[in-house]
Amino acid sequence: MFRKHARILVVCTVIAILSIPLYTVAAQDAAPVPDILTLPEEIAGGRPVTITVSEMPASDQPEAMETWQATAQRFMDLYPNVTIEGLELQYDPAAFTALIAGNQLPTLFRAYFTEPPKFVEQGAVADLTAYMTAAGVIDVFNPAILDVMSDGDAIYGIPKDAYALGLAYNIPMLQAAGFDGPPATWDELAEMAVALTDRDNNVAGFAFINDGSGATGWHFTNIAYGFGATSQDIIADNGDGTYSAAFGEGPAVAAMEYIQSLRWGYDVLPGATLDWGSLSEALVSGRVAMVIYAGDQFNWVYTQFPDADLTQFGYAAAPAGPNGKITLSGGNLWMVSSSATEDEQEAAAYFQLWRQFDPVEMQTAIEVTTEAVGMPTLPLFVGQYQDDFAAFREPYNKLPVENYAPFIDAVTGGEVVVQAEPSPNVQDYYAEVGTLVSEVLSVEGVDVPSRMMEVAQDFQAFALDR
Amino acid sequence: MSSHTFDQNLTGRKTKRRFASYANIRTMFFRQASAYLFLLPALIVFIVFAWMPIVQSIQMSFQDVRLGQEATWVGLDNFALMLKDPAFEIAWKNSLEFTLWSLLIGFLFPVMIAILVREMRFAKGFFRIVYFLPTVVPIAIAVIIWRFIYDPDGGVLNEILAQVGIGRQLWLQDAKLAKPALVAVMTWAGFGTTALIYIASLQDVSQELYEAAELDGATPFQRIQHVSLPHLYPVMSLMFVLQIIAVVQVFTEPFLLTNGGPGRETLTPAMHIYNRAFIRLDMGYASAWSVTMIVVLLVFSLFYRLVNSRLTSDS
Repeated sequence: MFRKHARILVVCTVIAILSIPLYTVAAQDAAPVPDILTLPEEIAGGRPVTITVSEMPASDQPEAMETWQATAQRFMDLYPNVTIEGLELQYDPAAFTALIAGNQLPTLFRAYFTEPPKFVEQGAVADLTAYMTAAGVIDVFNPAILDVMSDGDAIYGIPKDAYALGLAYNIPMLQAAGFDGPPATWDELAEMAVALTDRDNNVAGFAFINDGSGATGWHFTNIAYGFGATSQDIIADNGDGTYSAAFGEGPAVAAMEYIQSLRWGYDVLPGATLDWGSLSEALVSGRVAMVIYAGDQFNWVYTQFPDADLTQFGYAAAPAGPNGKITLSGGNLWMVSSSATEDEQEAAAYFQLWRQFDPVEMQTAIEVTTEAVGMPTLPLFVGQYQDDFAAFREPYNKLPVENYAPFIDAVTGGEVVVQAEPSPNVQDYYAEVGTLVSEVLSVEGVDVPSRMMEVAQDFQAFALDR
Repeated sequence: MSSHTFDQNLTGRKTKRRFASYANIRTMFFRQASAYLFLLPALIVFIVFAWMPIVQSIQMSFQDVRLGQEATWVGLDNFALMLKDPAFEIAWKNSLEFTLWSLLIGFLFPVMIAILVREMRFAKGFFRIVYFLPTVVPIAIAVIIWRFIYDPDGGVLNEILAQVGIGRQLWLQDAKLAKPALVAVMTWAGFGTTALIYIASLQDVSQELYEAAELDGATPFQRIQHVSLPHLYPVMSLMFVLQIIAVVQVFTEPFLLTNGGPGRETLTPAMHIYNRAFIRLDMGYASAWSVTMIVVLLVFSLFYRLVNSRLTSDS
């Protein structure tokens, strides 16, 4: 018995010794962790402070939850007067409206790039400029991204990630149909989708979110951008504090007619109603060949379908329209509730800045993370910091980043124009236009130009003019 | 007797009667104080969670209410805007269609089940439980199951229909099928409770009546026609009103299964209220819709009671 244990011990020792050079090589290959963060000696003057933080992984993901709690514990060890309570709450515009009304916002919470104007107008979020300035991180962020969450000189959010919508596709399915790569234009996409559609086996050639929700409007807007619409062609800023619904004519109408032809002409869309999650399920299970996709959705696939072979999926920039390749960008940010006390706001802001910028934490987090690394998203930072950040993360990539080269090359090579989401009332606009997409998909022969004009007029009267 | 004396006597009698009635109320109150105490928690809950929100909703329907901002009085503006809203006609038309579909599919079904269970000689208890089972399934779970059933690409229902040569149907994505498909889900989820109420009502019918009918040579259909159904009419009348009130307020099924779609085919007033209140944050406008819904249901209930009482008194 002892001899058996001794043998195992020897084998383990040999493996451990042999592993040292391997680890050393990996460590040498990895670029140093960029270090710019300045943290205060103490938070909230050392007074006891408790904060609530959203987006803690749910209990059905025990490993991810443990990792999250360990991160929180390290911060609490660093600042013993701070207590962090995790909430499994995910951002949802409707639910958070109720939380604001009930003064129940978490101290620190994630939201979309579209939300800061609404939250700032309602006075629901705190100004984080002082904390970000003191931490020394403002200059490394892409200024265009910081603008999204700023009102005047005040910054109300810490950017988390940014994406541009693109086209995800099933490489083997495309190859089997005789295609070398993704479509270059929207017309080509329709023709390829016809060849990829196999109704007998419940395979649709192309799909996007089609459940009629705001997310459907979000994907529609990406197609409208592809057809040449600018954000001004969707919601026009009149320059005098008023806005006009402009999507009732022009490229947005052409985009809606294109969707109509995909459903009733080419017949390449799935019959099922697909939302944000089920679109990924359809892609992973081979029920659709090509989908409009945000790069960060690969993380959802990676965590929800650990057995999925992600090397089968490629990612390219959205196809070109009359004005070339234009795509919609967005992202997520962290915000702090204004109803929290000043001590709580300080603790919340520094907790986020620490877990995002502290070199030791970045190193620890990337080594233990259960999430995907290597998603085809937009760079959050600029200058040397972005280069160092990318170099630091590169050895830890878990996704087949080579499959995303068509997207990355197009974005970094300036082949794609990245446009921000329309503003203001963008979620209202998404909801209205998403409903119309659903109508066009379900009722044959909808008079698209007149319905687009009607919806634009309704949006003007019930959202912009209210 | 002078008029003065008469007046005095009259006033005296009135005062005595008033004292007597005060005394009666006082006595009744003290005698029933414990009952009121037991009622108090329920009353407080109703006041805080039902009546106060209703009153506040009526107030907000005349205001422009934005979260985090001071409410301002706008008179009837919200109601005027509501009448211009294209969703107004669509949502109420959908509501009417839902009601008709639910009466067609869902009203007589529980009656039939209750009568069939009543007529059973064996395993009555078993069937009572079987028919009640869908009611205990949480609606969110039921919706997931129904999504699988209705999935147009390989869903259970289409697979079954394919066996008999019927082509692929877009149950929830086809403007013509979405409403009946949703009503089927609502009926499935709700008929157990309604059937149980009918079964309980049928248990009040004396067994001797059925036996007498059988001795007189009545067929099962005649027994149902002349014994069971007449007994069920008052309960059916009540369930008719309750069903319409419930269907007009329907929210969960279209919200979870179709999100009001395809297009606006399953958009209901309750969904529109939700969208305006919690997506658009336009609480005043949403309150105008809520008040309208209350008024519509109130008018319907009063009208139905009136018609029903006329019919009952005529017969």
